Amino acid sequence: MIRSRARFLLRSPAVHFLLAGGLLYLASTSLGPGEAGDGGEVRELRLSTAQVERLREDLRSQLGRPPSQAQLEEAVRRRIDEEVLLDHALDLGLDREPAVERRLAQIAGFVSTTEPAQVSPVEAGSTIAEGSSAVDGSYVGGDRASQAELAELARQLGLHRSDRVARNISIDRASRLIRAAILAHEPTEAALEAHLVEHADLFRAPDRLALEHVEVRDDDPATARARAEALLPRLRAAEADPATLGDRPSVPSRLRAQPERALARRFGHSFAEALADLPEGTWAGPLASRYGWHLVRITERRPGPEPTLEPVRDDVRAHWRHQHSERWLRERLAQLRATYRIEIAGQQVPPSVLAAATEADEEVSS
Amino acid sequence: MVPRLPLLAHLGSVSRSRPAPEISSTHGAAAGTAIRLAVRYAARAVPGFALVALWALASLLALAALLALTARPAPAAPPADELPFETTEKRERCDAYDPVRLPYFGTTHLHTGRSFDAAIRFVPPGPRDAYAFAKGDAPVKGVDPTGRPTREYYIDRSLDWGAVTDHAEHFGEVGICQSEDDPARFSLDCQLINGFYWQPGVGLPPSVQRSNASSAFTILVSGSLAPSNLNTRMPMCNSGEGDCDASELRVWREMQAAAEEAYDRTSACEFTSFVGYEMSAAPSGTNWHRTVIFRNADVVDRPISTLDLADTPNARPNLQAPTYNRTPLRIDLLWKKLEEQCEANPAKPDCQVITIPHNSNLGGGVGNLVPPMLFDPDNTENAEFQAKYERLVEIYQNKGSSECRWDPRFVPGGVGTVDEHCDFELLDSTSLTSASGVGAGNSASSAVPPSAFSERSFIRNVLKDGLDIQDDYEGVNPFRFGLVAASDSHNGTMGWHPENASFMGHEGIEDAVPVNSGSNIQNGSGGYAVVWAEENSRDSIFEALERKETYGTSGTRPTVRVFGGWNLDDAADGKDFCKLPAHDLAVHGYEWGVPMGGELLDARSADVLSNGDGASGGDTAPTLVVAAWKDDFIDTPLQQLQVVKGWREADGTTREKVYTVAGKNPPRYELDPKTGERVALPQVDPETCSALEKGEPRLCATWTDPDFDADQRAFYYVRVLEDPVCRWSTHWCREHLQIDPLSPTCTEDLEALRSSTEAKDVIRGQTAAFCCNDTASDVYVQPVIQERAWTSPIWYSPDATERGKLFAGTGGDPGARSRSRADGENRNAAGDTP
Repeated sequence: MIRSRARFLLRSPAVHFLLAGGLLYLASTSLGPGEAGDGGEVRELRLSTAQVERLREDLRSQLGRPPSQAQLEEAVRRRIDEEVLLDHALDLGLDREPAVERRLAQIAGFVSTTEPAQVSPVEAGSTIAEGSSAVDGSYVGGDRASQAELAELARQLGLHRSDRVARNISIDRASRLIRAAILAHEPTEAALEAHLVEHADLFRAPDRLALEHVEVRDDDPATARARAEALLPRLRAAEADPATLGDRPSVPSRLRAQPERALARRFGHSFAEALADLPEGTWAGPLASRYGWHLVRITERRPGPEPTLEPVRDDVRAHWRHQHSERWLRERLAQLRATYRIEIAGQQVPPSVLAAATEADEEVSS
Repeated sequence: MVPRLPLLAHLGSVSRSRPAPEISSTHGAAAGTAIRLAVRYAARAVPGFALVALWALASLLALAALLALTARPAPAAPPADELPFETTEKRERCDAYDPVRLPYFGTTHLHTGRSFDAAIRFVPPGPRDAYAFAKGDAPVKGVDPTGRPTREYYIDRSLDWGAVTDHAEHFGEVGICQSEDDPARFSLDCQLINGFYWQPGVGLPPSVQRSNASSAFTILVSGSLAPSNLNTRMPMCNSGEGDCDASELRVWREMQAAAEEAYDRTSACEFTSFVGYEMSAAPSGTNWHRTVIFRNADVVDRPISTLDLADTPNARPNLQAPTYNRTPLRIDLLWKKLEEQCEANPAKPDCQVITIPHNSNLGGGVGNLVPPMLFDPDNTENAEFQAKYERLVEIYQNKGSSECRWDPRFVPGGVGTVDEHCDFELLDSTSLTSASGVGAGNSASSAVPPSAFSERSFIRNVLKDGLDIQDDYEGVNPFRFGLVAASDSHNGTMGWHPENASFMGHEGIEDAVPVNSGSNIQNGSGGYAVVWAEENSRDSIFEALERKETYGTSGTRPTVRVFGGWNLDDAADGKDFCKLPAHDLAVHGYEWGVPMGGELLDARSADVLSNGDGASGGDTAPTLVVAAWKDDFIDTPLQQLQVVKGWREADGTTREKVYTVAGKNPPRYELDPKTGERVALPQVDPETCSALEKGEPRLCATWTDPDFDADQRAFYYVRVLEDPVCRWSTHWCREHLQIDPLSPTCTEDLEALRSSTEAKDVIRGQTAAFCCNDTASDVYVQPVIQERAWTSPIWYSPDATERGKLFAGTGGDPGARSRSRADGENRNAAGDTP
């Protein structure tokens, strides 16, 4: 058991990437001064009380009511992760990407009234009226140099961190880049097979039950129940043909294998639910249905056939990619968070606390 | 292949069923069939009475054989040529096949983000998501009040069958606007459809956003839905900026593909989808909407939409705005074009279709300009088309009940009725333009008197009128509707009708907080369409819809069985039907009577349906067997079973009467002797929401009409009332806003919040604005409701001459079609007798 678990772990791409990441991390720290963020020094990350309150306010407008403590904590966690990812994106220079550059150049025009004049169309050698287009907020493309200059100006003003759009693009790019480590990797046939086996329940058709039953009805439910209980030993001892016992049934007395849902349609919901606890092959009960009391023998409990890969390949692949890329993103975020000293509303919080909820999710989902 | 019959060529009948081989109900099938064949053979030589005796003998023999066995194994599906329904598609038969039928819960009406009015409200899911949701495979995303898809919903228990019915109008536009690469996606038209002018929380002040959204909705609607003529698509389609034809086809094919993918063709039969759409004509705001449901994958090339119904098509769509004129939209063109492009189309041999009107409560017409949704057909031909295609009507959905209206705020409170139970889920609006929605701007905020409603707005009145106006159409009753319910949700939440605090509204951002306005809080959580079918497959369910063996519920899943017939007291071997085991009840019911949706022949000549005592049938009143079991998942007991009878007097006036046939009918209102005001009596424990007086898990009645007059046309439908429970809005206000609609201090609590100095309290007070409304307030909200089910009627008609037409579409039992043929033979024989 332990051995197979270990073997599974060894096969798990998440573990591979974790190991690879760890090695790279060791390499980067031992080989001279690493990049900021991944380097040795501890960075500061502060979320002020005002910022927490703003999160609370945002949640309120989304929910139409004040958020619960759990909801607020989740939002705080997400906010911290956003900051971490943003730092990571900036470390990697993802804010130099065209989409962010364009956005930064565009908003630089809003913020500064003097700067657009500096990069006049004439200077930039462009025939397009750059300045005016920047002012009306529809800056698209144009001259590279002027765009880069405007973007740089925006950066000096801190807009690459504070502008919602630029910020979101950078964060999105960073998390995509991390996930891409997994997504670029097409799962092997064996990995899919293993994933299907591990998560067979997700892809399996529901169990089916075949049963026979003897029904007892009476205007007084207690009497019916007592009569049914009295019949049970006779049925178990196979003293009599079940067809001769009990009342004429409300539901056909022998039913071929069918899922719980179909049985619920005939007997009612609570009856069908109670079948799950009955043994196979022996008479049991009595169980109450919408009609009366029933003694039931499960003649066959047929689990949904073991799913084979072919019919569900796309689903399995999508599930594999989603699960592994999310898991890797969480791992990576934990590594990145560990390089911070995090303070929330004036209190210092160890990074491990912030991971608690997501790791719990992981337990549930896997 | 089954030959298609041209309309009404089939013996003057509007039935489209092919003659099918005889199917006997359960045991002794072979013997029963042999005996019946012998009887039929004998019938050629032997005159009427001997035939009756033989038939009775045969039936008794079959019955004796049946009762001899106590235990019955469940039968498997018979071979294809012996199925009681026509098979028009390739698939496996179901493991759970049952010749005496089981109830399957589904929906004939559901929207996703492909509907323009859902698109403008940021609804995320598409048709595939809606099916996955209904099957319980995946959640759907929902939007919060800021328009962001931050919410996620799971269905409580999976659905058996359903159709995504997005608005066909603007299919092309929505397809373009939601595409990722079509250049026209940035057009002004698409800015309207994509909600560009309504993004609360990120832009203009909320009031401006709302006003913009209102305009967008109105522009989208008035171009192609609202006026009666010269309707047109959005400008980008006409100008060539967007290729709306190609896009419309893409969306229509997406609908078909999504349905196909969701359909379980294996013998497990877990889910049945239908290809469908909604035709959304709304002349001058009068709701004429119909959902259109196809039998199988053989469907029209393009949906027939409102644009196809214009009396005068718009020849210059870029220059000529839609106009009202004296001729309203021609609804008959819907059926005629469906006939031409589907049922009578040689290129589509398996195409069959029905149309289902909904929200007649918002379709009352506009003075002399526009008649109500269910107006008198112009001629017999149109009446025949309506009778052929319009088999069913929605009696209840999100936008209120259409059964009937009785408003406790007024004296008298009824619209053509004195039935106090017609106070259920009333909407304070008479047309679409004043119902909940962006176009309304929450205008439904005050009481609308009963006198403001057309009597035709309510189905019970329409059914009554049908009994009368059939004389104008050579005996064809255009309003012979079976009943279903639906949600009409625009959130893609197919088959989910939570009567609790998880209700998410039904139109994306519009009512993401569903209790903050009068029009929002009046929306119900919708209900099911239930069919009694042999199995969960398209052919079996579609034929159940066609023969109207259906009922609607307001959101729970009770099991309701109804049979009507003559001398039913004696039919079951002298036993009370209600004492029979459920399975035998059904076997006998089908054997001796007709199920919901069927028709009773005149007792004086319908002796073949009686137990042989037909000679005394002249003054016999029909008997209804009504059996209902509670939904033991939600677990609300049943309070009472009611039979609602409508009939036509000799002078042409129509009447109605409601009989409580099982359970109790406790008083719900009383008049305050001092003020003369009507006061609602408490029905539930205000703490627990459980009923003060508990009902039963099962109710059953064998009821014979005490007021029967064999010369009067009549219908009988059954209404099952559950015990009172708290409405979703009561739970919502309590759980999310800590305001209790059942508390005597509700109004004071709300007032305290509003005048609080704390900003968050003030906001909570605004959000909860309508939580304290009840039966006594200006905006009518029932804090406590009685969930219910409505079955299709059983009709009675004394007119032998028109029976050929009226009999159409019944045949509600496993041997229905063959039996109706046999009946036809006898009926003709009887008719021939002077």
